[in-house]
Amino acid sequence: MSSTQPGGARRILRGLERAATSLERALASALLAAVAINVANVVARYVFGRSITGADELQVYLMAALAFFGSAVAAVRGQHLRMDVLNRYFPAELRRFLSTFEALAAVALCGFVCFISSEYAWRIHQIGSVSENGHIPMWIPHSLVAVAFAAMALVGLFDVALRVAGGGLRQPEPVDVAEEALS
Amino acid sequence: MSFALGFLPLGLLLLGFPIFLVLLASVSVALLFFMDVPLTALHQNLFGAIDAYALLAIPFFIFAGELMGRGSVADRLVSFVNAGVGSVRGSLAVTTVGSSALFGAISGVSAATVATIGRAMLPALRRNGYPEKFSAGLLTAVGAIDIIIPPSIPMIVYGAAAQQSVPRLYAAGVLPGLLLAGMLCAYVMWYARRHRIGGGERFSWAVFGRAAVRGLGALGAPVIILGGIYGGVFSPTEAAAVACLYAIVVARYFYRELSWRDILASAGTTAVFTGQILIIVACANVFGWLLTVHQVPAALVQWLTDLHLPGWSLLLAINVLLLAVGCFIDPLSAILLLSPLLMPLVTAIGVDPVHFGIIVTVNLSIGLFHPPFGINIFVAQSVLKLPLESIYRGIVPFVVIYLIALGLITYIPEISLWGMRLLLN
Repeated sequence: MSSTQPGGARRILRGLERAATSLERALASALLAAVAINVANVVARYVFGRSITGADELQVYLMAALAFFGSAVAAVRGQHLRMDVLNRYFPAELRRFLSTFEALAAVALCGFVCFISSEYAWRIHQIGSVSENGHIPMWIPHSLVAVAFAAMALVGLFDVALRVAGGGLRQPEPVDVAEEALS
Repeated sequence: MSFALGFLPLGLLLLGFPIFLVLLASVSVALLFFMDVPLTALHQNLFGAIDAYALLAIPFFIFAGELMGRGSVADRLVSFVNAGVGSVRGSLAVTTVGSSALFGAISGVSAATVATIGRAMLPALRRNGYPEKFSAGLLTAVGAIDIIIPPSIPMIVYGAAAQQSVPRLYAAGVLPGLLLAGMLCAYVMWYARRHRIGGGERFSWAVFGRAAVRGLGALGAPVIILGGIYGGVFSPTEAAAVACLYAIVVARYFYRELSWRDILASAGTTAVFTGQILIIVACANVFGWLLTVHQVPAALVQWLTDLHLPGWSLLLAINVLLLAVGCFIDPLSAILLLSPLLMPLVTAIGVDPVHFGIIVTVNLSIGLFHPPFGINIFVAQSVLKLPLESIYRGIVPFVVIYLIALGLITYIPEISLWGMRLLLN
């Protein structure tokens, strides 16, 4: 996070980073839970001769949480994969315009997916659909998509606001990406 | 429609938009303005892509690699390989290649190999008189073996995108990975002889035994992963989960190097990395579905059939395309973007999809360290503090070696398929 941001913007950035860190911790716990369930399932198969009912489904839904919410954390930190070969040679003004355009596009597109996914999850909830083995209500995993995309739309909205105020979420250089990937 | 599926994504990609947004923009515009299908198809394809048990191996393998890379595992592997190499000329460079290949059998992330093996080997290479340019090239290039030797994250993604079995892909990757390691070893030994760089200490069973005992914890991971899969004990996903548990036990209790806080931090890093990858998998699934609905792959196959090109020239053209794409886009995104288009082409000329998976992986592995933008170059620059000029000049011979290996792997399918048959039988 840049220290050259205006005071209000710095507060928003700190708040976003705190939220991202909390979400990251929750996702770390979800990953550890998925590993534990998988290993328990293997043990149950070899020791007791049967698998844990619904274990595979639960792990897949935990992975869906990792995928969609992990993506929201990556959005806050500007870590999404992109091809920025040409972008880096653009003039600063053009880069700034493109970053604002990108943030607006993120709001529109993530908001659109959020709308479609919420509608779908609501319909699944009304039908009362459950998963085949674990009987997990299917509206729960389906709403993960809606909530995560809502979070990404919100991140985009904050980014737009920050850019209007003269700041913006960070867009890392390749060396930063390498350092972050290894930190 | 060509605007939504062609010009728009290409334009946004070149402008540097995140790849998942590029794909999302393309499919949203296509669905809203050019198609008459329920919009719920967008959600169904997004969720459907992630609703796949096989993909769980991605976060699990990344997590296991993260845990093993945080402590002294790299040092222990290096000691083990170095003790085994003995006094051959260029033994340190050979050790670098061997340790990277071995670390690749634990981790599926190439950048991690460059950083961990690089940190362990660079000071020793300098002390023993290897020129900076050579060391920079070697350390930057050698990490790319990581994604060819199983467990490999790009192979899991290819397996999902091309609907191929991950155990078959892993088995097919073993010999090409060893071939590359062998070719790199031959080159570094020749280089050491030519530049009069000496070897290490003479081989001794006592030293080798001590190094093996010291590295036992680290060496157990590939045995569990590959032995578990090909011994029929685990599926790849289960092997990955068991490898995570093994890595936690080894790092926390055996080597006593990681606290629970470190383990949670590794899990957090893995979660965010998983998000970066799987969001593209989800969006690429919708994009792939749209391409199929509009019969783009079928039209491409028809166009190619009409050209009456011989198989070898098509494979050459695909290799050039993949190498070019690999220089600019990360391997996982490239696999997801190109697999739906290339698979029908190669199957039409009779190339085995598993063999093609290895060709794709080797191609994209070159992109990881190819100038100007391979991610391993930036890892070597930032983590190992190597000057960019040395890296660029140093990797040239290694790019040539990888290209020769790519040619062999492309035109001799048995290098991939024989190993696969051997392991699976």
